[in-house]
Amino acid sequence: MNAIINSPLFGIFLTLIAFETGVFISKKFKYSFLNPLLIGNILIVGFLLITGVSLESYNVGGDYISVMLSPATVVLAVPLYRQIQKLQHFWKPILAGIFAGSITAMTCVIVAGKLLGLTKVLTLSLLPKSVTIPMGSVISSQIGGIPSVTIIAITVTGITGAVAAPAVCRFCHIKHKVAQGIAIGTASHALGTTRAMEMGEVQGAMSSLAIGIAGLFTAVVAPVLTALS
Amino acid sequence: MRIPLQLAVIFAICLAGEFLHRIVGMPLPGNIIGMVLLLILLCTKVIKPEQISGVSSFFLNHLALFFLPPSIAIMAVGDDVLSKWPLLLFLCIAFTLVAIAAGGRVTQFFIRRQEYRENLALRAERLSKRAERNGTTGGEK
Repeated sequence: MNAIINSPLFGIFLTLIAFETGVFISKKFKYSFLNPLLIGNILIVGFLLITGVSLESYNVGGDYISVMLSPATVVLAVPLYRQIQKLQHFWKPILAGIFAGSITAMTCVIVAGKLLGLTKVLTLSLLPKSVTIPMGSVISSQIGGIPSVTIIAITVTGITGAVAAPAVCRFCHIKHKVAQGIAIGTASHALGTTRAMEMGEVQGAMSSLAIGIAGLFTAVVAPVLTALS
Repeated sequence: MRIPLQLAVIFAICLAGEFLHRIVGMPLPGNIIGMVLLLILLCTKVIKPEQISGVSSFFLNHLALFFLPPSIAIMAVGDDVLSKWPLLLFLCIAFTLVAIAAGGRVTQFFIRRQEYRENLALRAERLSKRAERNGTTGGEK
């Protein structure tokens, strides 16, 4: 049995099945918090805990999929390239807004970390939580966080954005479509963008533009903030 | 381009990013440098989006799949982190709302300011045109 469990195909198979189950459940029940990644995570962790298969055995195959994170990040340039032409008229307000949103998200984490006495590792794991996962997880490991914690934090952040974005916009009187889209993409990456697309075409385009730019800002600023804190 | 060639192009960009990060010592993570490299190649029309669309749309359509294995390492995280999960959950939710508000308000503030200035400029232009016409009375519009 060990020969099978330690085959790379085992981890890959488990990942594919868990992910597709997650996609199936989230499509069937259309609640924002039923995220395929979260469901897949719970299914695999549950499976490993119940069967006693070790994380190392799972990773023999899992690592093959993790390697693909790098090309998956690189191709994010394609949607960014398509959207960047939409910067046009309002490029100054847009860049200012993305910068403000990213800095706010990071400053909140650092301040809360100090006030609540969180360990440094934990604070750093939460720091890139507004960024899209392929960028956030590498930023996390670069500044000394725990990537798996960051991935979960990013997913929760994205779900929050997807659920609450329209209410926050209403409450804070953010009425301009461009401003709505930028706010959502900056604070809650691709998951929030799904909701922005439902709000309208402009919001969707601006939100997906903000994902890549916010990621770049965060990649540059996070190490600086880490050094300062 | 055929899919294997598309993959080779993307992997070459990944490796170039890793090279710039690890060997040259650029401070950004290798895959983010790679993304910037591809963005430059697209903007300079060296690569057209259609040429890599097979590989790029595969990765983009199933993006979350590639984060699933790294997220499983949460199992190995110590109890000191796991015991804090309600607090961490609360912080993630609260700060997302704050970040949306901040990003949106700042963007909107600068958009309104820009629109206001453009309006002033437009009005000044109209006024000067009317002055040129040397007092000929016309409709406001």
